[in-house]
Formats: sequence, C-alpha cells, structure tokens
Amino acid sequence: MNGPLASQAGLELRLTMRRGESLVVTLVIPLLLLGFFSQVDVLGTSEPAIDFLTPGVIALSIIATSMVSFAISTGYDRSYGVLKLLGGSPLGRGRLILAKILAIGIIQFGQLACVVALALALGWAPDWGGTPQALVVVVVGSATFTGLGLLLAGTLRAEATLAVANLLFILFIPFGGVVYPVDRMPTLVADVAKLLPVTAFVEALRRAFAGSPAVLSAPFALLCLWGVALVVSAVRTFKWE
Amino acid sequence: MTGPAIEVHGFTKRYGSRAAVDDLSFDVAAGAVFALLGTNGAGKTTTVETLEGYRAPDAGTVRVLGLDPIAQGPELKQRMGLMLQSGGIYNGARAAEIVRLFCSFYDRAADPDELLTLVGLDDSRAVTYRRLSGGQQRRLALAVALAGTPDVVFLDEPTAGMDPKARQMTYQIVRDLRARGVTVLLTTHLLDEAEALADTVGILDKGRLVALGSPAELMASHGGIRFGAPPRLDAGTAPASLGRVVEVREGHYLADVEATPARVADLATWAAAQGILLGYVRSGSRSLEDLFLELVE
Repeated sequence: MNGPLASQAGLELRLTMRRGESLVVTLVIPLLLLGFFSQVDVLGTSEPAIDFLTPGVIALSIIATSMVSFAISTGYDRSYGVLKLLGGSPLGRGRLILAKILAIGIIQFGQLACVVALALALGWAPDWGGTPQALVVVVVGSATFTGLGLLLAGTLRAEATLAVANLLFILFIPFGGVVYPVDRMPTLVADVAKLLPVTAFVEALRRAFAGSPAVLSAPFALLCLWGVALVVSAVRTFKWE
Repeated sequence: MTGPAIEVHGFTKRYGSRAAVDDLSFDVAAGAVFALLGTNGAGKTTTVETLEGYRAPDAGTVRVLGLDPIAQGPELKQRMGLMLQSGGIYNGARAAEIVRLFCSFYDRAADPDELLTLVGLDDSRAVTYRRLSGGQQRRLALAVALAGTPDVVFLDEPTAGMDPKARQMTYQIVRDLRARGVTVLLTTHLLDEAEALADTVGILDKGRLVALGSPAELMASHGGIRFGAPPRLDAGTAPASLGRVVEVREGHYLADVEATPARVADLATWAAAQGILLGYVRSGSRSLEDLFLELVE
C-alpha cells in the first residue's frame, strides 16, 4: 500500500476531499438539482421526474469531477510546477496520470453511491438490467470529460481553466438535457444541443436505465467520437510546465 | 565510481534561433560541489534541466553518474535529487505528507521524520505548503530533493527567499552532503554563496562559459589594481604606469596592470593631484563579484 502509485493516488484523493469548493461542484450541486427538480414540477414530463433526472444528474456529477474538479486542480498543479517535479521524479508521468485516474475513479464511485441513494429515496425506479450498460457509458463519459478537462488544463492558464471549466459546467445543466428535455427547446437550439458530448452522455445513460439498448445507440456512438477526439487532443496538446 | 559525476561536452540548446546555451563543456568530480553562476537568462536553468532529463540537448552530450538523463532516466532518477527554481509542491499538501510521498518513490528512501528535522521543519509538519513562508517552502523543496538519499543533487537557486539563518542552515546541509560524498550542482546569482560552498565555480554569460575554476583560482588570476573613487573620472589623465584604467562599474575602477608598490604609489599621487579621494585601493586579488562584473555584460 506504500508503493509510489498508491501514495500518489492517496494524496490526490486527500487533497481533493480537502477542497471545499470542489465538493460543492461534485456533490452539493448535483444532489440539490436532483432534489429540487424531482420535487418541484417544472418539467411536466410524462414519466416520473426522478426517472428523467437521475441519469442526467449521474452524468453531471461525473462531469463535475472529471472536467471541473480535476481540470482546475491539474491546471494549478501545472502552473505551480507540481506536475514537472513529479514527472521528473521516479514516479514519472505515466504513474502520475494513472494515480489521477485512480483518484477520479474512487471519487466518482462515491458520487454514484450518493446520487443513487438519494434518487432511490425519492422513488427512482430504473430497469436494473441496464446497469452493465450504464457502467460502460459512465466509464466512457468519464474518460471523455477527463479528456476535455485536461485539454483545458494542459493548454490554458490555471485561472482561465477555472473560468472555462465552471462556465461549461453551468451551460451543460440547461443545454445538455440534464434537467430539461432537449426536445422541448427551440429547434435550432435543440439541434446544436444534441451534438454536445454532455447530451450524448445523458441520453445514452437514460436509455440504459430505461432498459433500451444504450451501448448500441447513436448517442453512445457520438459520445465515443467525442471521447476519442478529446482524449487525443488532450494528449497532443498537454504541456507539463 | 571512477569518472566524473557530471559530464557536459559541447552542450548546445536553442530556443528558436537563439542559443540559450552554446557549446558548454565542464565536468564535476564525484563528491564535489559545483556552482553555476550567472545573471537571469544566462542559461543556468536550461543547463540544469537538461542534466535532470527535462530537455534534450540540440548538440553535444550530457551524462550524470555516467548515465544519459533521458535514455537512462528511470535508473538515474532513483539516484538523483532535484530542487526546481520555484514551486513543485501541491499548495494544499502538508509538509509531512509531501516528504512521505516523495520518500515512497525511492528504493533508498530516507526517513521522512529525519528529513523534516534536517531542514528545520519539525514544527511545521502539519502546515500546508501555501502557509509556509518562502524560506520554509524552499527548505521543504530541499527535503524533497534528498528523499531518495541521492548520489547527485541539483539545486536551482536553493536559497532564494531564505532569511540569513535558513541560508546558513542550507549551506550546512550542502557541506554535510559533500562530506558524505554526494555530488552537488547548484545555481545561484549570489557570489558569496558560490564562494562559501563551491569547490568549482562556472560563470555563464549568454549561454557561454566565461570562467571555470575554484573560487581561489578565479579570484587570484588576473590581479590588477582596483580602487574606488567618484564616478566618471577622466581616466585619460592617469599616469602611463597604471596602464589602461577602466570604470568597471559606477565608482569602481580597475588599472589593468600587474600590481607593484610603485604603481600603487603612482595611483595615490595622481589622485592627490586631481583632488580625488580614493575610497579603497586593493591589489593582487579580486572578489568573485569583481570578476563576475568584469566578465558578464
């Protein structure tokens, strides 16, 4: 348990838990959205609001960790030379990235547990048969938005990363089909919104929990395309110092 | 090991068309302390970071402990410690956490508690990096550099931001490393630091090595007569026996001849005739600072 990888992942985890502002984005906001929109009928969906909302909030909390929390901390780590020193130590860049992925995974597991627990308490009734598909979608979604986050963190100044990541996160809530169906937006907005990776992520997840084919669906294919594009761009453009 | 701990041969590094380091060569003997001196932008950090494996040379070769810093990086990193010019540590991490983290990376890890004691951060182990003073942050970075009981240590401006007490503590640590046979390469723009610590000093100017030797050698070579006087004297009126008189920097002059008792007397006579009060007269040796200012534009 004292190997370099475990030590690094452990410290990344502890540092993340210590950042209050990160907990607000990764946990408080998603749970508040879930609670509010499931209890106040602003959606007027035919299905129970909680069934519509839960996949969206799961996706949003994954995005909060991958794209917001880790992008911002990585941006600051980069500007303070942390990535440089760790990359030049025996830990190396490969294990540093692996440690971050491990820490992200553990945090997201915790987030899933919290969101699912609240959703069940509020009456969420998913098709449990879709769970394996949902997990695949979550993993691909997490990788996609980690790619986006690192694309920001690896190229922009830390302050700009913070601003852009937060702005995207806020825009994703209304325009990504998280709390409001994309279909009911004006056609032009809906057409653009449907192409966003967040919409693809939410839609694929919604299909999984509805018991429909998710991994073999157009939204999941779109999410995979985004994933490859974003991860490749992040790897190509990332500057370590 | 028999060869030098650090070998730099014909090392050149360009950024665009500008050569940051130009055909640099020097060796550092195993167990020696080498100080790389230079102004900002002289190429010190580029040189150190190439030795650390962060950059590849555009020309020439560098070896550390006989190893190629890039091709044999993993092997070298286990035996090398480094301190970046600034930062390198998580803002929100506590001092003890950082030292423990880095100790976990090495096969020959030092004891984290002993390291914290060594750098005088015993009382600050639970303090986060952002709450440490500038000097304490540098000391923590120094502890990190020593986490793997290294054979060679690179310290890029180790005492920047330290108060005199912390600086003396750092000097003592460097001397102790030397006593244990550890090779140390440090960069600094503090001349007294180089003089106090280094077996060998290299002076870099615009990417070129302009002087190399022990502090004693560098200060002894090329004597001349140095004197202090009001700025902008008309040196043309000086007696011919003083040779060429130049104002090395405002109010400081060098008569570029071998110092003899007669010439010192000539200088004093000339000054009296001109109504010039000499602030000081020094002959035969120069400080490292004199040398530095003469060599570096």
